[in-house]
Amino acid sequence: MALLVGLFAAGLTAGTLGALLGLGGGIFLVPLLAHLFGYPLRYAVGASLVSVLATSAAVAAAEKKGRVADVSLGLRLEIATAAGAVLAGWVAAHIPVTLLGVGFAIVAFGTAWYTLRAHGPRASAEAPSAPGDYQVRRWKIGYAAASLAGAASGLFGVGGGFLKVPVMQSVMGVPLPVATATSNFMIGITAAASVFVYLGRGDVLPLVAVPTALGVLLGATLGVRLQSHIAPRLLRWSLAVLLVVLGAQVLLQGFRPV
Amino acid sequence: MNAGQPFDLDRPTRRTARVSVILSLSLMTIGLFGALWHRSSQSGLIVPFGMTFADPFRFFMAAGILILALFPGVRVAIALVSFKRGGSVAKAVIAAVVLAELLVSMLASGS
Repeated sequence: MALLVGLFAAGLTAGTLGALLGLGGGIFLVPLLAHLFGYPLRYAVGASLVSVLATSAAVAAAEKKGRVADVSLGLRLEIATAAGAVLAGWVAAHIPVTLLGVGFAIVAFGTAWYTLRAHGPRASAEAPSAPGDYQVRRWKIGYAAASLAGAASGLFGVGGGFLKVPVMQSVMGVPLPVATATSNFMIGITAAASVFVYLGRGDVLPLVAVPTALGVLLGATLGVRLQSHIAPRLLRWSLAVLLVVLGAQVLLQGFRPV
Repeated sequence: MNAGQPFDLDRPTRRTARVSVILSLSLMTIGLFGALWHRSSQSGLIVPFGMTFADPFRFFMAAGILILALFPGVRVAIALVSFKRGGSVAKAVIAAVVLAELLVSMLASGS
């Protein structure tokens, strides 16, 4: 029973952070389940995928007017994400993984820096968002980032929301609430594809995935409620700190393709 | 269909999401507690009315997970049907690309 409570708590934390920052939560859950709870990586990823789906659905259920996903933007970026995933297969066979890890860390640090930059589209990002009150710009950078996120997803088993959200917000001029909702929409699509494979292989252990997903469902609902009460500045800083920690982790421990 | 306008899919999407979440939550909770009950019945602890429970509870949990897994697809379908702007060719292209993306992800996960 203590284990189930622990899994639920892990899901609750990941769901809250995931909904707040527009991430699936896998970036927190996979290391937690694999290292803290000691589950083999494939079960950790299986449970994480279910949790990503739970976050995506819970965020959609709790979305409010002005905090909705930009579905058109999400679908277009998803095309680049698919291309990135395909490219990753080729890249993985030709470039040393260590080099990829270093590149990945550099991108993470660069994105963190850009997110915290004093000038740029901060004002528009922090303004309350209503349909049509922003102009999506720098599509090429957006497509590049989405491709990179797809590549990261294919190579390292992470959702890529940690790249998409800051790029959508800081580079493309999408307000943060819309960027997080759009990211949640996108990662839901990607996770849905993978989870069927994991289910078929028996890598989704119900007694691990379900308590975690229940925690995530509650946490994501809580995260959406909290989002309107937390200053965008704090959210931006949280995202930047997360990116730096992730980049440092990649540099120190290395990233192993899944 | 224009990016820069978070198209107001709110009502159908939210309604579907809420139904999915509630259904999934209920099924997974029933499945989880049922499985625990089954486990305790095997160890001879709490067995009301001498009942025993078997794997059907796994089915409840799997059904809950399946509902969550189907939701993104339903959401894309709602979006494609609801877009007022954009021709049917554009919609078909996007739908095809999303399908291709799903296939790529499935292949990548399966490899």
